Amino acid sequence: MRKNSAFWLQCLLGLALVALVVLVFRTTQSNLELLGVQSGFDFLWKKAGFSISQHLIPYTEDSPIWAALAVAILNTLLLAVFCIFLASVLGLVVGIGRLSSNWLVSRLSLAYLELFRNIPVLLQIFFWYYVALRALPSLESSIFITDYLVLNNRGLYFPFIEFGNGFSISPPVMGRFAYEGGFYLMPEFLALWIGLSLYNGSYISEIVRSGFQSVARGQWEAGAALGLKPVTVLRRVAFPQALRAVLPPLTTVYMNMFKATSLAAAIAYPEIVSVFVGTVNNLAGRPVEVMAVTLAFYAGVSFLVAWLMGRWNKRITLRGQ
Amino acid sequence: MASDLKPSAARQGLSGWLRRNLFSSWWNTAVSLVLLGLLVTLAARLFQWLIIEAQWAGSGPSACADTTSLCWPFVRARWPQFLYGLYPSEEVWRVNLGLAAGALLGAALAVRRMPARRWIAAFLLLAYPPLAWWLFRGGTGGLTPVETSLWGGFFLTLVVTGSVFWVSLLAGVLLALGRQSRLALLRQACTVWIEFWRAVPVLVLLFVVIIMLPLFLPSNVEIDKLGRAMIAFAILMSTYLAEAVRGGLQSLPTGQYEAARALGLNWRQSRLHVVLPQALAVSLPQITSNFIGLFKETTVLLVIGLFDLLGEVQRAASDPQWLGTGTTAAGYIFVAVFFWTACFCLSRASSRLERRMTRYRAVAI
Amino acid sequence: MLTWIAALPQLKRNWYGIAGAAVLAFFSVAAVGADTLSDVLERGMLRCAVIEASPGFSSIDANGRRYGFDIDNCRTVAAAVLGDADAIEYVPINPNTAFTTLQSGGVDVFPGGATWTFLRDTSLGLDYTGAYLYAGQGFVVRRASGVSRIPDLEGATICVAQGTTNEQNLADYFRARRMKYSIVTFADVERGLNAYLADRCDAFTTEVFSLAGRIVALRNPEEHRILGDVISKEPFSGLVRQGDPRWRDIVFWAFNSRVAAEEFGLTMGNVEEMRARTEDAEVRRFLGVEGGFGQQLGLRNDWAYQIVVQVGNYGEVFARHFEPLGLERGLNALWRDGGLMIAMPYR
Repeated sequence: MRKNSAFWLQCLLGLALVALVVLVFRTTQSNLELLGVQSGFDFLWKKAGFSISQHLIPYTEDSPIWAALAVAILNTLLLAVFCIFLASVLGLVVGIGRLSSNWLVSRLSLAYLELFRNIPVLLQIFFWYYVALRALPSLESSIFITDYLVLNNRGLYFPFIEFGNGFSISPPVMGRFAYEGGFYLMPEFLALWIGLSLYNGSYISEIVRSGFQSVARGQWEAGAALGLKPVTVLRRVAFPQALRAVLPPLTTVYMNMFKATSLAAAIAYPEIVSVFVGTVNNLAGRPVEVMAVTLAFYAGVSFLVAWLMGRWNKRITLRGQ
Repeated sequence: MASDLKPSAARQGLSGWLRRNLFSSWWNTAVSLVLLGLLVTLAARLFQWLIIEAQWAGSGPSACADTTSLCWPFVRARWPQFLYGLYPSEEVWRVNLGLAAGALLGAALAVRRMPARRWIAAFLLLAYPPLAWWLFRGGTGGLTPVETSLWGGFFLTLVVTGSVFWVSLLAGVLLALGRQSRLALLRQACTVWIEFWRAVPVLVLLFVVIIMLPLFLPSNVEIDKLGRAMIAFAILMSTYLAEAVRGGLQSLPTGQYEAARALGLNWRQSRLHVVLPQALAVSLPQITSNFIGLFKETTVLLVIGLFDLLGEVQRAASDPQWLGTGTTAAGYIFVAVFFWTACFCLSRASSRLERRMTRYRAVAI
Repeated sequence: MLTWIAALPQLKRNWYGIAGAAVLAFFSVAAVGADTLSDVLERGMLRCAVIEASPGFSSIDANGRRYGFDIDNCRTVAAAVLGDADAIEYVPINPNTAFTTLQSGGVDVFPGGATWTFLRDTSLGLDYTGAYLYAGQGFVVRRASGVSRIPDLEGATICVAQGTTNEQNLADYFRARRMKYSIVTFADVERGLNAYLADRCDAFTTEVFSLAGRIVALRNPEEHRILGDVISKEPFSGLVRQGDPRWRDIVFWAFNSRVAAEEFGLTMGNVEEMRARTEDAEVRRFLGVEGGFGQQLGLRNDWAYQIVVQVGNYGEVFARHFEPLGLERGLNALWRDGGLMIAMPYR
């Protein structure tokens, strides 16, 4: 009797879901028809006609829109990788600092945590972008960190390998308006990189701290009793154990950081939201398709990462037991 | 000898403390000295920038002729806009009244020995939100309507955080229960829904809802921009809260479910009286941290052209008469101090509550 | 279509079934042809999209009141349709989501600085209501940079607002001349200009009307220079959603009326007197004294009179907002004065 009613409930639920999807689909279709908006993904093969300030692969205004999408995706990933690296380093240093026997070190680590965790990340990015980086000197009075590393309010310039015939290293050279040659990180990128890393680094430090604290005190003492140096205990005993406790929450922070790269749309870094939802959407007039592509990108990356981390997590758990 | 029984001087007083905590070894001493030096330089520089070099006097843009030093008169001049956005000044009493009532009710709840605490909670949860919306929005009952496009500043930040949290908590509980349902289809549907939206950044979801929602709805249904933005936030928030509540549900021993069934309670009764009170108590820290996250995340509204506190500061700082890094920085510091204080206090309160909860685990609220 | 919806409640007489059917019934109220005029009349308010903080076009004064050329465009339509130029709910939008906001409803008209182009007209699901301002895209540079003509900008970094025709014109212009440049795109004109002012870019580009307005408003306008030449023609038109021809007509004729009023010599000051004593048949039809022209549009017969008395004629509106910025009529003078503004006749 109970089984039976559950079966019917599910049937009904299934019907309702299907009906809802069909109705939303039909309403959308009729709305789009009424508005005279065309649909389809053919716009991806049209000429883009706009320029993008940072492209890791060759791209011009004549390239198709899908190439612009690829450029935007690479820019997103570049930013995410840079952020994950810096935030991890910060988090590790500060997290270990929290456990230091030196009062000043542990207090400063705590101060860092409380300061950056409690301020909205967008505000922090704005601060770096509109206040700190705008205060950098102009082109004529650039800061030379070394002869080849130049910092000014247009960005951070450095030499880069140039693939032409063979390859050569091209240093930045002062041109009429800007440094040319080499590679440069635009201020928008720097602001996002610093802002996102400092904010998420505070969360990572907390994870690192609780990870190390989860390693039983006896483990440290046992290591010391074996005559191992503290650094060795940290590396060979505590770290592998802490990693297991740390991995799931760390994945969450990494994913949050990856998602937060979309805040680039608030300043002018050309990642996927800025290029696709901003420029292409207005150009192509295909809101549904543009949004679908963007959603698919984020969902795809998230599921891929979740899957990979799940596998890794499973492996180290099994090996540990 | 009696003096041998006293702790040595090295363990006593200020000097003892210093020796133990800062200068216990040559390595520690070096680290402490370097950090101390850096800290003093930084503090001195900050003090100079924030206080000494900053502009304090004057009222108009002319007070900040030097555009690079911090400009505090800017915050003073734009104060009403930071608080209320473009809300008409003769109607501002409605905002004050509504927010004050909310704060008062909240404060009454925090007092543990308050009489009729249960009724106050019920009023705050059920009657206050619609009443406050009616007061702010107007249009009926003799109040002049105030379009939501005029709302802004601190007021908008609070309205969005409060309303979204209110809706999401309910939706989140339902989603969490759905994800635990014995109906496989319902369970699957809830899981897919939750996992999908958790993968999407808030900004993207905001764009999606603002642009697409009207296409999904029949053309005779219209939702204004603020409404759409809040729907987007609520979709995300409810999935986060659903995960928080699910954690609580999973932590309950199965004995609780079985006991409820043994008592002859049906599904609704057992969930309402046995399962949810305990699960919510367990997931309270998660719920508060999500609330704090939402509060900070409302700043994203400025990207889609709604002016929360940060948005109003940004808008005011773009005024060509005020333009300059000193103005912008002053505005940002003001917003940062506001958010920092609020979030810090909230997280402290939450951890205190958590400690109390663990002590009285059996006593549900 | 979906006839089984009706059968659903019988399938299972319980709460779920009824609730489900209610939801479905709600959604199956399918979209019917839009009737913006009735919506506006019923609401008693015109929903007008504006781009915020664009001197000359759309600004907010210290009391929170909006003013500017775009705002007067909104007021023109409201005066014609509702007889009250201030019965408006303003909906602030970003340029990079302007079109989708319009497509997706919630706004009756967008009168603000949208260039009329072939692709936008044919692919966006929007209708243009006739050009009301002719502008062109220009550049501002720092005087200290020594740039005096557009070709001097070879190799420069240029700030621009995202998703605008400016972004594309810029690409077209530099590509056609094989000039190198780098571009930084911001969500709106204001952020782009502020970035230029903070020395993020060597030049900023947008159409000259809004550029002039913004530069004049700066604390130190003399440090900047608007280059003399333009790289495009930018005919601005109002925008409405596609599929409502009557509403498009109303907006078109409302804008047309201001130009007509200037041709007839009607101003805010004299229109009341002229209505009482004019013998000119066209002016009488225009002001609703005879002919019942308002009814043809579904409006009151004094619709054009309301525009002139509450908002003014085209020349008055132009002078009110652009003369303080030092802008001349130029292309926007009446046709008989050598400009492009010509009113379609009222007969």
